[in-house]
Amino acid sequence: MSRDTDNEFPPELRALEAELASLVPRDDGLDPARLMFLAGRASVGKPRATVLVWPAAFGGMTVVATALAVLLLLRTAQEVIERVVRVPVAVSVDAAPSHEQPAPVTAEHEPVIERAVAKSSSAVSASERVLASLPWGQGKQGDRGERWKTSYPDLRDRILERGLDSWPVPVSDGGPARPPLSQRELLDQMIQEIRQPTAS
Amino acid sequence: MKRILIGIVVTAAVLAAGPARAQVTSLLSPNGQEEKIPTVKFKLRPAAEPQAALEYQLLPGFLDRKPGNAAVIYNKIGFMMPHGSDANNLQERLSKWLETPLAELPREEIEKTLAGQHYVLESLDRAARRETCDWELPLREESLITMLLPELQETRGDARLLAVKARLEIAKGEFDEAIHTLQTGYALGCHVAEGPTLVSALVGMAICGIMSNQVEELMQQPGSPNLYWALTSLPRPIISVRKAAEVEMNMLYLMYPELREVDGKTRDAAYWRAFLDRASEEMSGWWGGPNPKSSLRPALTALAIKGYPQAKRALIEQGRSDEEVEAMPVAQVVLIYTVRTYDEFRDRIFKWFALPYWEALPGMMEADQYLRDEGRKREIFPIASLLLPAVQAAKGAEARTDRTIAALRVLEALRMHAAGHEGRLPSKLEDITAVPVPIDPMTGKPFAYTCDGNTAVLEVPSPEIPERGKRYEIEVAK
Repeated sequence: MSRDTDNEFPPELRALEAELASLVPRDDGLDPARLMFLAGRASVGKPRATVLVWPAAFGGMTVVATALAVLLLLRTAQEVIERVVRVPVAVSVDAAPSHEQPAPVTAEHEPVIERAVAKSSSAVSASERVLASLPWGQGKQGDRGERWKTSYPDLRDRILERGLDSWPVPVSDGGPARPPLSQRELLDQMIQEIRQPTAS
Repeated sequence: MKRILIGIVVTAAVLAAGPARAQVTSLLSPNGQEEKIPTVKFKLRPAAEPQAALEYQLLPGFLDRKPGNAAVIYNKIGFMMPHGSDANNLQERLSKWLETPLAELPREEIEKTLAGQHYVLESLDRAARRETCDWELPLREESLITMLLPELQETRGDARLLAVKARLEIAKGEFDEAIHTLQTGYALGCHVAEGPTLVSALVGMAICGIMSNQVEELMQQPGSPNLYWALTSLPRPIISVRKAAEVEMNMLYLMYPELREVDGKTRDAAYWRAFLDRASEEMSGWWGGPNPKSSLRPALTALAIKGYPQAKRALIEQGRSDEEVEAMPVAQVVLIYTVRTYDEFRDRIFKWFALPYWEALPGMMEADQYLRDEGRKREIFPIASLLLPAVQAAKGAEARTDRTIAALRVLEALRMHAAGHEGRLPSKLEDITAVPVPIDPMTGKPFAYTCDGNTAVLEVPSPEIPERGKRYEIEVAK
């Protein structure tokens, strides 16, 4: 803006102008952003209770998660039942080990161990884990499923435990039965087959 | 905040209660429920013993028997009995008629059904009167583990057919014919039990039990003969489990005869390794589980390695030198231990078979429990735990079958007493002097009997399996 020297202020204002021109702006002046923020907050007034809901929820969930973690840690040691899935193993059992510890299993193909269901109990020995992985791992008390259909000992034990009716007579869904042929009927049939040789 | 805290507590409670809930569920198993003892309203009709005391017999007599093997005929009957949907239909009707009261039996329908099975009935009659019954099971050639026994299933159907025939004859008052049919039935039961397996014995017992139920019906019919001496003449026990026990005891050696020499001969490591491999594969096939083709070899090998120190220690404690045991292949050491442990468990169980049930019961219970508790701890391969039967259950079945017959003898003794005392019942069993009154084969003590004028109660309890007991409420028929 150019100064219009022709438009001079009255003498009393010229002194004021000179004083104002001598003023230097301060560096630590107002922060406009903060000023607006404070103004906005002041316009809201005291915080309502609903504002605390989310922080409270966050705090509560944190407490829940912590409690669950503590419960998990306080549970007794888990039993891990290892179940061998892959089979082919070449194991050396020739030489007796020179010490009491069992010799390590050496194999061409390491068996794939699958971690199965864990249940809360005290720690079990390695032999118990192997035994549990066997089909008869639970002994006579275990669930032996349908093995009684192909295994005599399981059939026997089933009958001893549950009675003879637990051995159901096989239910046939075939058609009506044909009575067996008498000796005469069988002879007639065979003679007929002989008289009518099949084409080669 | 309060609600969140409540949620935390509830969640924690649910987590903590999970396993406990499962335990509670297991406690609510069916075996925990109380069972009522079946009660029979027995109409007692006084009857003296026949003039010829042994006129009636419940097994074919010497003069009626012919040389021959009954099993041949029984196996042939298997091809004659209906198969397919007809079989299901027939067995359902037979089972229904066995439960139908005599007065309500559909006689015409039954006669028509029996006429359709006449060839089977004639063959059963013939087979029952053969001197011997040898099922010729190939125990020494085929593994008992996987041996099928379809012929046993067929005989159960045969027994129902005979029992229904007997019921019809009893309902019609044809007592001589009914007793002849019951002879055939009891003979069938005894023949089936000749099979050298425990299952054969159990099926034989069940067949005899079905026949005994028909005897109980016959005794209550007007004009029926007194069968005290016929029942007394039956073998005791009528079905013995001792023969089957011998096979069960030696099942391991039947399957693997090599084990009889595991201690005696010196074989090299390769021999015992090959033996273990073969045994593992055979057991895999026996298991028949979800993966029947998966081999047990790695698991059994791991068990052998793990159990080797235990086996070695035991052999040394039993008197062998360290050097001798160290020189043996690992597999042989483990197998010797396995066989020794199996023999110990086996004999601990089977020694009780030589005793009467009531004398053997405490020992059998202890032996069964010992096997359950110690088997897992001491066995490297759980052979005894899996192969040996629940001896108490087997011996109990034998005793129960005999107890049923003994109870019928008591009832016939009461009929005899009433016939000689103007229809009056004895106030106690000791008052019966005409014939000896049998004791309860399960307890070794007299049956519990109480009398109140013209009514009495005979208790035949079965403490371990209440629903297999019986209570007779006896009333003298007018």
